[in-house]
Amino acid sequence: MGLSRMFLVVLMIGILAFMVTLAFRSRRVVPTGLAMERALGRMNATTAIATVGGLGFAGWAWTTFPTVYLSATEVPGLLAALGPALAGLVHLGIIAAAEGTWPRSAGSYRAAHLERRPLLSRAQPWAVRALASWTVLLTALLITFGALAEPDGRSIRHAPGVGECLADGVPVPCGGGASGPFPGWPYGLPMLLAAVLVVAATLGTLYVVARRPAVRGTSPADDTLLRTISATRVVRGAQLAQGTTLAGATFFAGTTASNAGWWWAWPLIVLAVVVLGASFGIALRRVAP
Amino acid sequence: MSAAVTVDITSGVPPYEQIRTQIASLIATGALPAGTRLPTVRDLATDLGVAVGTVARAYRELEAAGLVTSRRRTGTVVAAGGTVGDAPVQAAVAALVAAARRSGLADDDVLALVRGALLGGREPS
Repeated sequence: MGLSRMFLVVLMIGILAFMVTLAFRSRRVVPTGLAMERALGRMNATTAIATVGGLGFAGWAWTTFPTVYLSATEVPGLLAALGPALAGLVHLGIIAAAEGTWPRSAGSYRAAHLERRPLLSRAQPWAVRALASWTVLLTALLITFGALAEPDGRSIRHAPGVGECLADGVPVPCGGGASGPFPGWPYGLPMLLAAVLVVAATLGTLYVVARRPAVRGTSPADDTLLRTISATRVVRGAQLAQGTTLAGATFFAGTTASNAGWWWAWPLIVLAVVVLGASFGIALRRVAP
Repeated sequence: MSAAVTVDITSGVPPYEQIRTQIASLIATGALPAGTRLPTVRDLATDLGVAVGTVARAYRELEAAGLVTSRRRTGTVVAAGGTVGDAPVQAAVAALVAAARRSGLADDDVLALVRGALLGGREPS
């Protein structure tokens, strides 16, 4: 299981880099007043709690889902396949709860700008592009894997000429063998549903961010800036969940296809590592409007 | 500069009336030109920390006065024809307010001056 170890090492390095960067990176300086400082402080605390919650759940899922809960579902290992998406949902749920309880305007004298806000807060394009790319790629690959899988949905037929049978002690080519586990429909359909839920939860959280009360004492431009930062952090976390799910599915499909002798196995494995690295890299990217 | 409204919860004037008056004034001076989309009832109520019904009533009365129109798709939009006075009058009012601010006059004092001027210019009947 050299490849699995390599995948694990890449994942652990990614998580470690993520935590170290979060812990040591300097706060972005926003040249504004006390109201902005307070709002940013609340947003940073929310992000920290949501990150610890999401990564904590992911770590627990990583260690228990493939072992303790391997057979918790009818399809062995399904829970492990859903782990990143579930961690993403935990992350988004924490952010949505924090944004939904943003302090309302209080005091006897209150003011509000007559600025119409969009239905959903807008995240920065790079985060949106990453989430869209991983989601489209995940959907396309899961459908492809479903079509390629054997009727049991968990294995893939060996490539032509792969595997030898002994006939009177002499090795001869034979067919009909299959390798597993392969992410066919029994894995693919729940994973697609989970991916849809992550996207829906992302949109729901962006709606909550757009509806939260404006920060008192800030200009409309500064308020929009704060919402953009929040929205980008939301999408940044969601793309990590989709990217990790995509990397996991692609990696398992690649290693199984490699055992089955298919030429396209290695490109899949490389794609998995690239997607994993890219999604962690994007998750670490500074939100700088 | 973006238009803003304020609400004084301790004032004897109901909050919906404060909101209605200020938006009507902003439309009259052209600070909110025709076609401007106002915030949704829920968003403005959230920002002001008042009940949704308070802002809804203010918007309803503005609509009844023909100052705004409400449509399902576009929301509440400032209607055409709400601006009061032509450009010279608008400019004179803006100059008066600027001068009053420079002099440190309170808003109520400025209004008292304008009311007095209006009374002084009225023909006895």
